[in-house]
Amino acid sequence: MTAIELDGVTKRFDDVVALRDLDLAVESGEIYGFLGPNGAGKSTTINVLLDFVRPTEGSATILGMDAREESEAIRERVGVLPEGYHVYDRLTGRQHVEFVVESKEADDDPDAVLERVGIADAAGRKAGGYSKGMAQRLVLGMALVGEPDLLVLDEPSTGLDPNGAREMREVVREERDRGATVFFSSHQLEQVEAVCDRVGILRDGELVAEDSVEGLRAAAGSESTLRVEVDALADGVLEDLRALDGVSSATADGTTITVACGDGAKTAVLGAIEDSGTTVSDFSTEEASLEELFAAYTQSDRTEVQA
Amino acid sequence: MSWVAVARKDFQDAIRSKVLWALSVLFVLFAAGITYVYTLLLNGSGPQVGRQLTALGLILFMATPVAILIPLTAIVVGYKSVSGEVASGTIKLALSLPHTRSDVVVGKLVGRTLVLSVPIVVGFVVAAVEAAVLYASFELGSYVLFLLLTVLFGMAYVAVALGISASTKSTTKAATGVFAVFVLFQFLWNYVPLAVYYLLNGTFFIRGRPPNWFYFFERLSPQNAYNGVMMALLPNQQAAIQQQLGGSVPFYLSSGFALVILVAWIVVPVAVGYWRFEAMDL
Repeated sequence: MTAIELDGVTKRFDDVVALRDLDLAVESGEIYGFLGPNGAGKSTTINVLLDFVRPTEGSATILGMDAREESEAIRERVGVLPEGYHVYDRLTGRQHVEFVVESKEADDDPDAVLERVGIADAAGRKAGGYSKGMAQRLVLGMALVGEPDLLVLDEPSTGLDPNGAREMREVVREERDRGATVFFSSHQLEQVEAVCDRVGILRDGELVAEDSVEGLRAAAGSESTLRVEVDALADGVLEDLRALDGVSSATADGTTITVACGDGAKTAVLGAIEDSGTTVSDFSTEEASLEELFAAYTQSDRTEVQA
Repeated sequence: MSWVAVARKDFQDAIRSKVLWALSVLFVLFAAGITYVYTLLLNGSGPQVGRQLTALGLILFMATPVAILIPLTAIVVGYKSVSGEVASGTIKLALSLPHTRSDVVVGKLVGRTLVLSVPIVVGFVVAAVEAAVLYASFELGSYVLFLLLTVLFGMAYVAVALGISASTKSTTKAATGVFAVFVLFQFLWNYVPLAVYYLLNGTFFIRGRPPNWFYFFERLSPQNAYNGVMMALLPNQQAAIQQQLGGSVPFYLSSGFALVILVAWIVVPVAVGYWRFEAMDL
């Protein structure tokens, strides 16, 4: 079953186009990372799912229900950590959770919820005095009330320290293991890499890639960097390497040869170096970092990479 | 009954704000003060103290200042009710839950009306105790009806403030709009029938008794509708109106119809506000 389905969604704000003919499908039971730079349209997409904003064209279906017509029924089964929210300053953390429990007709114990997100000791304090990270934990806790079938988390690690972000990812995994679908957006790659089953990358309101992290890496055609230690640098070896298929650059620094090449060319590179009559004493490869991968998708104008 | 959760949360929020307590103090001072001032006005000092003092007289005496105090208070209580939540982002928490936007609007109407009603009731109770001690007679039934009517009047202005608040994302615009409505009905409305009369007859000078529609036009403001309903609570008022109108009172100038107008001042602004809020991108 499909948990989230966007069908040709376009959203215009006055003269700004936030989403362009966006199609998206999130399968039930998966953790889907919705990745993109700020301003790409991630929050607008989530706001369409929650009926906070209405699409100019197209439609969204959540848990088999129409986002416009059946929004209330949808929100009974969805837990949300929205973007740009503000807590009720004068209500305590516990009162916030009680509001959700009552609204969803759930039977969760508010203190247990707050315990799970690590702010049980602040349950009786007014949320207006919470730090950004505590507020984020509170709203994450509110999203968990009533064992929702779908969690929609908009930039959940905002304001969390590394420890808090790790705990948040643990909660996300627990929820997935319980059977929930998790849809969360981020502009931070490490969040997505660490936890997601599948990733979609949004740029300028369009989905430019969608795959597993490994699949994306391959599809991006991102290169590895191969460092080879040789006992002596043979004449002409760099020219020979540059002539190989899949090699984009080859440089030498003393007895270290650095070759940028596709994964499939590594063996050929090593072979060519051996053939030149030098002995390889050591070599290492570095995969393209996710940062570079992300940049390749979201910043570069030279390629539209198809996943 | 999803709006109940919204109303409860809204009221819980207000209890913790200083506004509710400040209003309660204000209303107690107002009610206690005016109840006492009324004794001073009716009596010199002397043995006949309490001779003419009645709760009905007090009601009549209170009506005018109440008709100014309540709208101003309702505006303070209501102008941020929705626009404030939209501007700050708390609305996203409420609407992430299974509440429709109509639940939010209705819940706010009830919650804010309760917030306004607490100080009104407290003030009225203090005044009642004081009047029971100082006055010659105390008509409890009429007084309770006057209290309920005043709460309804407050609700009408909460509805106006809420309706405008739900129509905009800007609390500044909401405050300006609500205050403009108050000024219109408090200070300018009674000139409107005259202006209409001028347009129809080319003169401001009304020969003889003004036509009935003239009174009806006046009656359309929340303040005048409130006063119109109150006439039913007080003796001799019906006769005075009959005399003013030169005979029978048409239904649209009856106290019953004034109540309809007052209720319309709750329903229509909230409906318009909901309609605008429903179409809003948050």
